[in-house]
Amino acid sequence: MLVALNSVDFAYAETPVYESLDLNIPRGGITVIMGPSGCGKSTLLSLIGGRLQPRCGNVVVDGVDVQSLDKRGLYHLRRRMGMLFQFNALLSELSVFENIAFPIREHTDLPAELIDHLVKMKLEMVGLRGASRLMPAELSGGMARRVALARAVALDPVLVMYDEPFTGLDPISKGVIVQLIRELNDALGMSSIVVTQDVAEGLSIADYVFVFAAGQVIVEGTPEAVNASPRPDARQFLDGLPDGPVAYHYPASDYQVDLFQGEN
Amino acid sequence: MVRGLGRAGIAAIHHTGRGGMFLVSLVGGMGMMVRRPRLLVQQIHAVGVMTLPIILVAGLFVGMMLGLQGYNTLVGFGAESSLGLAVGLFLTRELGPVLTALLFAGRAGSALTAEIGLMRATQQFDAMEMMAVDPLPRVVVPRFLAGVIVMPLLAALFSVVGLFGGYLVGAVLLGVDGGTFWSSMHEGVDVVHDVLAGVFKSLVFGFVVTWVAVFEGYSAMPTTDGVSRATTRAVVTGSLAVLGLDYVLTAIMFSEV
Amino acid sequence: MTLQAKETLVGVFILAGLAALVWLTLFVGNWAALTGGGGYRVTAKFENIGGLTVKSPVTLAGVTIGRVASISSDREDYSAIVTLSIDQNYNNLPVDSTAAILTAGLLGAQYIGVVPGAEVDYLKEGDSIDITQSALVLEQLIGELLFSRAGAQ
Repeated sequence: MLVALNSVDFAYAETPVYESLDLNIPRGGITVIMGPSGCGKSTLLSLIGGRLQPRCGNVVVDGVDVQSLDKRGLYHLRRRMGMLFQFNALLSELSVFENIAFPIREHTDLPAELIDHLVKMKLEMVGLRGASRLMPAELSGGMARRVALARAVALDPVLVMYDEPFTGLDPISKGVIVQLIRELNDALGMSSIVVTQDVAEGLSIADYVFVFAAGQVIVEGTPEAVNASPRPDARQFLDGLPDGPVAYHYPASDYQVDLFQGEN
Repeated sequence: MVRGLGRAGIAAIHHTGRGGMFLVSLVGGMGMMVRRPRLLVQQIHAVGVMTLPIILVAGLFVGMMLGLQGYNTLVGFGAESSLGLAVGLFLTRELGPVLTALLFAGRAGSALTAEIGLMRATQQFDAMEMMAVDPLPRVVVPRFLAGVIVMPLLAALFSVVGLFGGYLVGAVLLGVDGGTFWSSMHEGVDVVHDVLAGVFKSLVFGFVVTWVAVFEGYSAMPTTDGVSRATTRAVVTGSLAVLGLDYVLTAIMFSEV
Repeated sequence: MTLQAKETLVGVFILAGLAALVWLTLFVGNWAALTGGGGYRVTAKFENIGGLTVKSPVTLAGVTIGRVASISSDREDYSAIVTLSIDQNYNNLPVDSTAAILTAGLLGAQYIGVVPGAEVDYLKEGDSIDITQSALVLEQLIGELLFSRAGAQ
């Protein structure tokens, strides 16, 4: 197991997110975590990366208990992880080249020439070698996401986490990212965790799927097995049904009563 | 309503406490400045060189105003020969450091807050942390140090330009003897008590204004609304702090002349 | 703007700022007052020093020859003891010189004016000026004027 969550409890202030959650993410391949908004998917990535602490239970990454690490230990661990943020989080004052070179420069003492080679290789992988001098503000959404991807894998990490990588992209860019995630994972021999709401894209690249609802795993398995699940809450999500276990109507009083008494 | 005030008061104290801890972590990150001086130089440019035009123009206007007002007031006592002294004292002791700090808070301070707040809103700090880079020494400390270094320099330039503005109005326009203008100033402006006191004040102001600006940016809510409110708060808090500290520092430094 | 250009501007800015500071310190401020360590000290007693303060000028025929170094009060005769720091260049003041507290203009700052005497010996470190004239206090003058008028009537 690459990542294991054991009996994890987590809450934001008063709102509980997870209770006694057990999760095991296999090494190698792409694991996709899906679920409706607000079910805590991104929180999961923050817990794995050590940015949030669980109330109870622990998170083990590659045999290391994340909570037990001090600041330096945590940074050591993070050097072996890459992360693609929901809005790319490119450093706005640096060019595309500088953004990808950033982690390399901070963590290695490689000479400038070697860094130049490395960055160009990563850029070539994502098809943006010609854009190396552009600034983040000059990039389209799809291009920015590809740069962020290249940056996430700059140090050839063991684990890469993708937070909603398909959101906000046109169909072409979406197709590009889907292909890139698959190719990079196989070419670099990494493990990937993809958190997404896009059912079609998620199922298409997954080796293993977890479907969440209300802080619990409701279905898990291979994409085919998950897609065949008969559970109503899973079905509503996977098929995109407007009404079902997640109600259409926000809780409200009786309609007739409200209408006829609402004439104040 | 009283409860609301109480809650707001406690929130303010909590916020200030976090600001203090933030300051401590900034000090820890200063070592990097020696290894990466480029970062500091870039920030001195952003914060100092870019604020210079406003400071020079404002200094000229204020100096001219002092020349005019000073003349109008002193001429009633037959003491217009002391105009140079009045302009010199007001500028070096008070207006130089204070007005520079206020202008700085409005122009450079707000820019710092907005920039840092925006970086937080676009998850750039999260990204840096996930890349195992501590964002404080790399992003915040250079900006903070730049603010502290730049403030006394800007205040000095403000005072110099102001003196010439006062000379322009007093001597050239209103007929005070030029030589008397400069000599009365030279006689009465004391290096330690007036000039250096002003420099000390502007160092303190630089420290406080920049600290408030970077802290508000760093702790801003990562939304557009959050960033804009943090920016206003930074300018208001910084400006009020300058005025309040000015009183305290003046009372301490000038009470036994 | 390239990094080179920025760095140059920063250099110019810092130099300009430092130059401004230096100019303010040397040419605007009174440097002499700071380096006033090279003087000899002489004391003088006054009944009333009026608005005289430390660092007030000490003049001879209108030329500033020193500063007031300190002011204290005599426990025995309740007068004010003023210590003058006089520049070494002016070491030819006769021992019977007098010191008066004068006002610059009508409402100006107060200063000490020294009038030289006729003795052969000169004042040295630690000597005292014996003949002094206190400050003119406005209220006392008015009081005297009223009394003298009353007396005349």
